[in-house]
Amino acid sequence: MITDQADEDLMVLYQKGEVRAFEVLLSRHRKPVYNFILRFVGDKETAEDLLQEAFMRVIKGAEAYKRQAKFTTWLYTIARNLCVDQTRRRKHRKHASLDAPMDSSEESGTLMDVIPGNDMASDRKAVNKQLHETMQLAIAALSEDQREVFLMREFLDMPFKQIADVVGVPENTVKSRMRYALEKLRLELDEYKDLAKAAP
Amino acid sequence: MSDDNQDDDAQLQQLRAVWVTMRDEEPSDRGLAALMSAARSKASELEKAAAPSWWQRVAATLRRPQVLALATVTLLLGGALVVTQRSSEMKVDDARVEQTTAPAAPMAETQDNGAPVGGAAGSAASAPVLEQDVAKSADAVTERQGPRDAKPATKGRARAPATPTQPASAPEATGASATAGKGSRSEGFAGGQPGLVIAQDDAESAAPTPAPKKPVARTAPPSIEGEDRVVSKDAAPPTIDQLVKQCETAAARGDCAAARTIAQKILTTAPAAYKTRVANNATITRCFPAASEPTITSE
Repeated sequence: MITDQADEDLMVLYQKGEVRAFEVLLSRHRKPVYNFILRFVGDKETAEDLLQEAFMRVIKGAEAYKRQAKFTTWLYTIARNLCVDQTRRRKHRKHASLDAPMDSSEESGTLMDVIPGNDMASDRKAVNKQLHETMQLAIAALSEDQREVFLMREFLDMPFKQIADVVGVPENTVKSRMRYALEKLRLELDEYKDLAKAAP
Repeated sequence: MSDDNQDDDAQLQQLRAVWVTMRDEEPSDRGLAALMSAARSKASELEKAAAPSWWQRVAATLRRPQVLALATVTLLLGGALVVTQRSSEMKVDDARVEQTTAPAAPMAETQDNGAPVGGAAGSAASAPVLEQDVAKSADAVTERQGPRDAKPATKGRARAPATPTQPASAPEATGASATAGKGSRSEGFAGGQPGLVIAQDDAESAAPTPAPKKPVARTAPPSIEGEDRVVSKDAAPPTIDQLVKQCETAAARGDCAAARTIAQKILTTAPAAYKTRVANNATITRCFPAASEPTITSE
């Protein structure tokens, strides 16, 4: 059955003109890639655009895909490169404003909202929201190199070797970046550890 | 990933619990239709590109193990066949070489014993060839009995490609006086065709000039033991001119016995020609002491 096949086999099938194979690949990876991009760039609309662009590149480069390569490595390399390009473009355009919404949705708050104030939300939902937003801020505060390693490691559950392949640096460098990222997050979130304990 | 997290302390585990609870968001369907449309059009392109051309299919077929195995077996069998044929040819050729390189003495002996008519036919040559080809040489004998056509005929044969049905030549090489290959040249394996023989029947041309190094057809006529008789039976009788020539040659060579025999034949066949061409020929008459001059017998 086509849905049970490995990503690499599906890609080979797509190379032979099997559209259904691409549909399966898309349904399998669309959500994780989207969330990776979203956490990287921090903007839903940009993330959706980049998601579409990433899969467009998969379609265009399908002929060049080799069976020996791991499909997810290839896919996340594309996604990561798009994110890096996007963040570099954004750096030149503007700096993050504390008053600017964190993404385009109306529900999203500003950075000011998640910076702890005197009036701490008492209900659980508010706690979770605040914690997650704080976490998102802490991730955004990581350097680009540390962030991509952290996201792939903690959210995509990738082995260091694969991360090294995606990022294009030695595995030890990846481990080092991961160590620095965790250290920084610990410092950022230290004052919220009590809040984290309260989280469900 | 657990092996990589062995150094994680409790605090980090607590932090990890925070982002683990962060739920993944669902992407919107925006752009999904365009994506699938692009995927379909690309798939059709890929399908066309993936369809192999006829030569790719042929190459793929030829690369299959079964085909390769069949080709290997065919090649081996073909090679074995060729080697076997070649080997049998070599054996036949070896036999021919042995016969063609046989010593001239026995042949001379044979020719002395048998040397009938035509034996001296203007040729001192004895071309040793296969006995098995004797029967085929009858035509050649007839052909060669024309006036002085022997030499061109020999050349012609030498140039002609070897064909099994080609008439053989040089039966006359068995002349009684055939001084053991005086005019003969055996071209053993000349031109890479073993067993080829040149029977040069012109004594004059055989003397100082080396015989042409062109191979004669394999069916070169035999001139070995017994050949003369076979040829004599099948061949047409020699003309008076030839007999006179042979007689003269034999006499010049000092083979008076042969000369007398031939003269006797001429006398029996054409007395007038005998008187005009033999009796007045000083070379021949040297062999005819008064007592032994041939006379017409009743044979």
